[in-house]
Amino acid sequence: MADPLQARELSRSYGKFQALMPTDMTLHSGEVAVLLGSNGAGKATLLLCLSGLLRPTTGTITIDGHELYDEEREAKRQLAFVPDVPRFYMELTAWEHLYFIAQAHEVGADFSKRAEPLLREFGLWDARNLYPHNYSRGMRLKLGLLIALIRPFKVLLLDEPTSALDIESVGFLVRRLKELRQSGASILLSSHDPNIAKELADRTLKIQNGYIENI
Amino acid sequence: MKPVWMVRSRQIAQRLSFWLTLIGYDPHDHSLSHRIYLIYASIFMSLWAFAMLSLAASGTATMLTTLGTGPVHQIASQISLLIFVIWFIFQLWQVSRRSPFIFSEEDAFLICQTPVKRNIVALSWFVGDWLGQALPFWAIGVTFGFAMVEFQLEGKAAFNDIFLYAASGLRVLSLFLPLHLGLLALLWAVGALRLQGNHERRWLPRLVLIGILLAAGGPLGSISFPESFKLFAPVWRAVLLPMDYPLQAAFSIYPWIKGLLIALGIAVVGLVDLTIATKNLNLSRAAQESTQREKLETAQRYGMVDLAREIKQRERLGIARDPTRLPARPGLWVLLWKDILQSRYEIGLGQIWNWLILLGISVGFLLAPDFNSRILILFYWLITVGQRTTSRLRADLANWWMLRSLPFHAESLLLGELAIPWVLTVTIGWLAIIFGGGGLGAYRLSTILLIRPVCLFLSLISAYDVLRQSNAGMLLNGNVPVISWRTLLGGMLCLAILAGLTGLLRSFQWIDVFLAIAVSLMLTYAAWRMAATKFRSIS
Repeated sequence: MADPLQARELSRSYGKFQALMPTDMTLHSGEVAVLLGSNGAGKATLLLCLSGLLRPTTGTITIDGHELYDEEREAKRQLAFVPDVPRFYMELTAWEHLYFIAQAHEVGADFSKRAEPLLREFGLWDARNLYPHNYSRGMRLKLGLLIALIRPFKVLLLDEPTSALDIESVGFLVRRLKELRQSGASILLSSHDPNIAKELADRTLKIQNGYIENI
Repeated sequence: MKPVWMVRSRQIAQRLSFWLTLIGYDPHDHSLSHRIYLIYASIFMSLWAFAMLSLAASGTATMLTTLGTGPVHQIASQISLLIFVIWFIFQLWQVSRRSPFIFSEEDAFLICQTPVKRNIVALSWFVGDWLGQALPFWAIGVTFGFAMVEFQLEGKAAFNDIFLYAASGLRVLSLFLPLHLGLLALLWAVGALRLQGNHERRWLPRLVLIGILLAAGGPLGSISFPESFKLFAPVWRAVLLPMDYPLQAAFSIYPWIKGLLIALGIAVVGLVDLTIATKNLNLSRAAQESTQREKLETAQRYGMVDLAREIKQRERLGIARDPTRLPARPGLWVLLWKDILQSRYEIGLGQIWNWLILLGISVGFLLAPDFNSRILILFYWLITVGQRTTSRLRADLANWWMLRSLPFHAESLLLGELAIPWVLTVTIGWLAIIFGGGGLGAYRLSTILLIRPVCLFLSLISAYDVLRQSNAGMLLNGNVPVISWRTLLGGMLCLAILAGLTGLLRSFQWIDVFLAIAVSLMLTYAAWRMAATKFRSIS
């Protein structure tokens, strides 16, 4: 069976600045990889490229056997990404955001059954009818995570998911990620927190000056 | 006093320097040539302002003579009184509901949390705001002053009369400004009464409302029941006298010096009231009420249209609401659900006004008397259609991570984003034909049928224009470009091709219609593919 995420000769430059050196990368089924690196090392660039939000300068990305740009619909059905500072539609409440994403991914009648426990677990149940622009930074990040978790996927990319979370929510997230790993999802997350790497990582990657290495 | 005034004076200087940069002056450049340029620019702007005000004065003089049978000085003073009264009532209503003191987030942290004297802060803020708020009164005062000279000279002004103009303008200004200062200070003092300590004085807006109703009831009652309200006339006159006397003095009905003394007296009373009323002003409450407004005003001042729209929209939406009952079908249909929901909660006076402008332009195009006017209106129409049809797409592009992560093809996504604005634009096009062209029957079938593909083409070419200028970095930060001249060019080309085709084949019944529709559909398809390719390749 093909690996859920495969990147070949992936590189990204901004003008003359090479943010990501040509690299191959694979994420195995049921694997959690933690990406470490200092500020500006290229973590966000790598995640944005892998998520399809930032077109790489060279290389190809395959999600569950589908090329990300040629078969974008099929690839994106299996790919979920949460940026470090998610933005939301202004006119939709948190609940409606989840409903929108669930319907876009054809989650169907299961929506309420999936949404309620997730919202409760992350402490957003009482704030589900609020507009996300009234949320704190941590709450926004939680909603971003829920938007990813509400629908099925095979690859999950997270950009510093614990940076604005309270300790309790970090615990929930870690537990949830472990469950996802057991169910076969592949996860790549960037972090500055070595404890997260220790607790979750099957593989730890370090990115420095655009070069990625296994540690 | 010093630190507060230092902050405030820098804020005022920064605002001023913004306007100076618009005329090409860099406040940080202290070179001699740059200073000379400032002198030149000041003289030029003064002459320009003088010319504009003279032009306005000429029209005002004509208006004053046609408005009534009494002496023009009397009519001018009455109109001035009316302007002051309406402004005062409107401002009174505003300050009774929200803080007149507007603080930025920085002010809220740096000034409102410090133990500085509250009335010093209040006075510093008042002076800064008064300068801006007084500007329209400067313009109105000088225009009326010039109009008096225009009337006196009966339109036969010579260069030597410039001093007459200056004297008349200054006379009005010298009374308008202290009067405006005093009244504004009184208004702010009323606003400060509501912001004392932690007590919410709910009675104040109600009291103000009763006062406003009474004030409005007087003139209305005296018109409807003149006999019954005759008794109250002296009361109204007495209430308005402190305002009315300086205004009459401004137009030489009463002695200038007496008017000036009264106006200065009102200014002093206003400032003293403000100083006393703001002794226990709760700056934190004022800041809480005003930081969003400050953001909005700053965004509007510096032309940040999207940010201003976002702030207004947030304010309008409030905190929360019950979830919608509108059901969504799974898959691509959910895009339509989202758009309907967004449009439902986005709709406000501003939105309705924008679409009415489009209707006005469309009707104007049909009613334009000649070819040149039509071309000019057509330019404006193309730009407006481009702006309106891409507004939803632009708002959603600001959520790049969510939009790009949806499991839909770029082609479908684009159609989903443009569908509702396109339907509205087509509807407005048909309405314009009904209102401005004597009904649908008055137009050739080709024109009526072509509205749909042409509007879709314009939507797609505008979308292409926006996407062409976009890059992932700016979209991830929520910055989305606006349409450019390419939309205009694309629209003009499409319309020129279609107009040429229908014109050439006019004699061939139906063939011209079929051909024009076929060509417009081909152009639309090409624009759709181009926009979708651009969407996919944003990097």
